[in-house]
Amino acid sequence: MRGRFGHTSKRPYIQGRLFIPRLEIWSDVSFLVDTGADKTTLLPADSLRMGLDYGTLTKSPIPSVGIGGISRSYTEESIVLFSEPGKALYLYEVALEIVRPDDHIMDIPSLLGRDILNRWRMDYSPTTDELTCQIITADHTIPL
Amino acid sequence: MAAMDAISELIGDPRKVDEELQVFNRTAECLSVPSHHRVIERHPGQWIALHTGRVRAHGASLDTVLAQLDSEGFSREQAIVRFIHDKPRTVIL
Repeated sequence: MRGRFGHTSKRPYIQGRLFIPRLEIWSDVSFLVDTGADKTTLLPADSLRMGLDYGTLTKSPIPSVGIGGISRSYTEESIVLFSEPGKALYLYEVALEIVRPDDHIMDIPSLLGRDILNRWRMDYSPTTDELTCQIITADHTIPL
Repeated sequence: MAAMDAISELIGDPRKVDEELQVFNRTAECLSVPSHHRVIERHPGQWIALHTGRVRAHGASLDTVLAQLDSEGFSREQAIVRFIHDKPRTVIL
């Protein structure tokens, strides 16, 4: 699978599809690849785009620590899917962190964390504009 | 682990998912390819929404952009929204 680098930021991204079954919502997401994130995390710009109603999140928000301080997040059982075009779909069952909206983080993209990245091998080469990910394991693989 | 039948019902036709994700990948590439990015840079200090390879909405707030997407019939699920900074912002996560 191929990712990409942002044109100005040079941040690494990869695209996938997120399902939150209990809330019956799904969306494609361009995730920021973040090897420093313990968990895959949905940030408010994406959650609001998806139409997520924070009132439906029943688990009490828990603190998450980042460089900017502590934010409050919820957890929802979710599935994140990636496609190797024409070959297979790879699915991961994750406890998705969902961060509450806050003015300071509205422009931050959702994060692909080590709960998934630890199951891949990545070739990270910004100088040649190549970000390739090899799937080592997945919870489910659907051949195409 | 979720049962495969439940997974299949959730995701729908795998080939359709694959095709749709390829379209979404091409849309995301607009944020990486210099020629496309010049279009995006026309909206400094604004929110933009990309869908099927083009900027489909822009405005001062995320709410405004999402409302434009809705009114023009573009699915939010296959859109990308981003705030375009006047100057690159350093982010340390």
